[in-house]
Amino acid sequence: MAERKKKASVQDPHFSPDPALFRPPAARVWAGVIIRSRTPHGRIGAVVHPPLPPGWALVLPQDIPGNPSFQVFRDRFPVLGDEEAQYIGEPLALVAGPDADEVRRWADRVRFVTRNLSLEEFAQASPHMRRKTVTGGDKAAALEGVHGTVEVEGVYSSGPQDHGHLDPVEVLAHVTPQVVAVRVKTQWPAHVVASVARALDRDPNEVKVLATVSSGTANSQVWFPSLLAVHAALLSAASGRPVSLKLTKEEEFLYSPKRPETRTLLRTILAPDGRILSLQADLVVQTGAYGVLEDEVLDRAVVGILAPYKLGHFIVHAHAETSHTPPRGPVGGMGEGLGLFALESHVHDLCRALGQDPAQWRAEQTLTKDSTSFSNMTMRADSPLKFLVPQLARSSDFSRKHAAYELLQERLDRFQDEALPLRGIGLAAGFQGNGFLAGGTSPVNIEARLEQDGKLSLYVPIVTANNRSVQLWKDSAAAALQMPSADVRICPVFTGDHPAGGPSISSRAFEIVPKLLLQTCEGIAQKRFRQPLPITVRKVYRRNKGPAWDNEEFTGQPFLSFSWGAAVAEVELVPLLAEIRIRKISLLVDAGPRIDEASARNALTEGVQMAVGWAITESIHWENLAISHESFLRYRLPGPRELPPLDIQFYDGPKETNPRGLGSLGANVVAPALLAAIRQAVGPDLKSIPVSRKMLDEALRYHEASFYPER
Amino acid sequence: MKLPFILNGDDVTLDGDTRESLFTVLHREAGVFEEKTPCLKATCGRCHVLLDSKEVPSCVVPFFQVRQREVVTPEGFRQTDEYRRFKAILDDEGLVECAECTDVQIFHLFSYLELFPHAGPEECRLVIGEIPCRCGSRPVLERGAARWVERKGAARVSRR
Repeated sequence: MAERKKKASVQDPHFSPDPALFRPPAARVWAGVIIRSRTPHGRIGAVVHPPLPPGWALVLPQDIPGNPSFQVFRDRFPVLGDEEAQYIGEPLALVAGPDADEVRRWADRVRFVTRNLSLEEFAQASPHMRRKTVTGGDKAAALEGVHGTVEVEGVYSSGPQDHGHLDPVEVLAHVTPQVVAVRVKTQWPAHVVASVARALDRDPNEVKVLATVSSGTANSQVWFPSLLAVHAALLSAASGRPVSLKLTKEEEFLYSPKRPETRTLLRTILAPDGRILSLQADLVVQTGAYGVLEDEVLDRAVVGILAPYKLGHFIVHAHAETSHTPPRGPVGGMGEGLGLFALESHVHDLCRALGQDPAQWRAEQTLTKDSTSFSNMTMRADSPLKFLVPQLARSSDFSRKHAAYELLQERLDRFQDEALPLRGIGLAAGFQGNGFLAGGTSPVNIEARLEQDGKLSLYVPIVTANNRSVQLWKDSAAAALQMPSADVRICPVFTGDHPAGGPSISSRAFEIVPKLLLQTCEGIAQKRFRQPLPITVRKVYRRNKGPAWDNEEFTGQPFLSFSWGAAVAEVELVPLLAEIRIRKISLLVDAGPRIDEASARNALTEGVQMAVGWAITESIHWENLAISHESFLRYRLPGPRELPPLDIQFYDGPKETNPRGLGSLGANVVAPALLAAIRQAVGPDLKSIPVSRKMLDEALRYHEASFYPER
Repeated sequence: MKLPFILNGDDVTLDGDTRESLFTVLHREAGVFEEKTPCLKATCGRCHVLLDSKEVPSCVVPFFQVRQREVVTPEGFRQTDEYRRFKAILDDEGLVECAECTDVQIFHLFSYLELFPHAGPEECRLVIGEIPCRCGSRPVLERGAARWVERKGAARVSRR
């Protein structure tokens, strides 16, 4: 091992993809298949399998040469389930052979002898529930001297959502004595390097990852491709050949991380003027087996509930519930959207209870300059919602339409003609937190190297499909060094020696990378013509702004920055068809200056589509602790019928502010706006998404019955 | 069974089973559709090819049907001048490419516009929506299609 490390240290870290390693001839590549658990929970005994054809590779947990656990930030779980299966579909063994169909048929015949746990074992090993209580303000002081308070309560739930990628993750791993080459579609190549090196007990410098791009900016597959890369690398090491591991569409749908389900009870006590005197929340987030990233998701969901408005007193009981189902993960945002969905849906209810215009209430109750936030930070300026909400309400004619539809809802004859559409309009506001809470210390490193031929190589730890942002990086580096943009290249291969970094999320691509690029190029410019080529300059970004975030006390600055936004959704329903048609969605965002407006619009459009799917079309049903096959067959991304005309506007704030991420902002604010609009059209009892036709039909009947009690 | 046909302008002879789909053979024998996983149900639109200028889902077209016919794939279409002109309009409109769908979307939309050169915005919107994807490129594609139709219409008028 020591000798290997020594060799690696003299190796050229600026490795270019070798076709023999990364694209070997198809005839040489073997197919890998994952053998999965068929039981949701049980002790694993012997493995029973047909004779292994000569030369094939079978990998069991005891065959892992390195560390058998897979790590994501602070969370760990087994690369291959060893003693206890935790969910249906958990990888238990791996097999590779020359023909994919034959390997799959062989794998289907493998059985693991499992036994149910005894009561005592079950009690010890049963899923845990991580609890957290966050409290603030002074309840007695908040309620003192206030008369005529209004109490509003509601339970809001949101369902799981698939990342919806069209191509399942495919990994090619080629393990040789000198290097471990991995080609994988991932947004976190540094994590692939670390995970593969750890499982194979290799020096990270020997692991070379060619990260191919995935679509858009969806934060959907943070750690999942790394796990598959480890599986493929283990198979390649065991077989001595390059191994390709490609999930089937169904396999990926059933076992890849989904957006966590949530159920939130919110109870608020309001002063007659609309102030929230007291807020109580019980939030349950379903994180699946092993609770991967549960700290991050749970804390962000709590921040989503507490951050937007002034609160006299608050208490949040947050629970991350682990279960014997596949691990959930971040999809379309890291978690604040879950809390925002509940809060904004509740705001719809409390505005109804107060008889106030939701736009006016939000503008009045958002945090203002010198007020104290939930995390004991004094606001240096008004919250952007103060101006975003009124501006959007004006441009979308929200207040007039909202009042008109409210009046319509009171009219009895509305339900008499089932062919006439019911209309509703909803408004929601919120934010996207940029950067990680739990992984907040994860740095971003950028390296620029002016090569001997005068060309500039940029090593950026961000994988992006966005052709425009890559061109932008090239152009800005070229401009800084006064060279043609064609002479700048973004290097695609990552090694252990390559600058590491966190997952490629849009906030990093837009907020951190351009600044760091400029700094590295300035560093090169200072040394250029003074030092011999090649000249290498590295710059590291570490968060140092504001007080650190305290995960336990919930104090300090939670994110690197906030991007704020508001959305208005207009819907109509034909009762006869119980079908929702979205008439228009308007968005107004404040995410700082736009480096590239087309990219910003694209990211927001993507977020809107995510929200439409989450709120309306994409439903997943569980059957005996597994996603039903029917869900796979019927799962539907939003189509042209559901996708409305979009009106995306940007708020142009002071010029000195930095550009900020907006990849999940659209999803965070549009989903609650859609539900609010649907509720205005059909009645207030719908409090969960996705809204199915059955739910709509029931809500319509219930609402109609309230007008005609004698029926 | 070895069948001769024209693939993206080249004469080729590929070996495949009669029961296999055109997609399977193109993927295996010619390396077409690399890293693409279609639905194999003719619904996702990701395996579409032009078979004698008619757009078909190659996952449900039997391989034996291509004998002596011409097949153009999205990869082949990328090499054409028409593609470059269409792409230039889309770039001008601010297209952010999606690794999963952009090529297929352009191919699909262009094939439709060749068949129906007077297609209106609503038609184009429905055609674009036939390829499901999470990416946010649809509004740009819609605007690009409208400009393309307009440009083609103007060209026809000037020819008259």
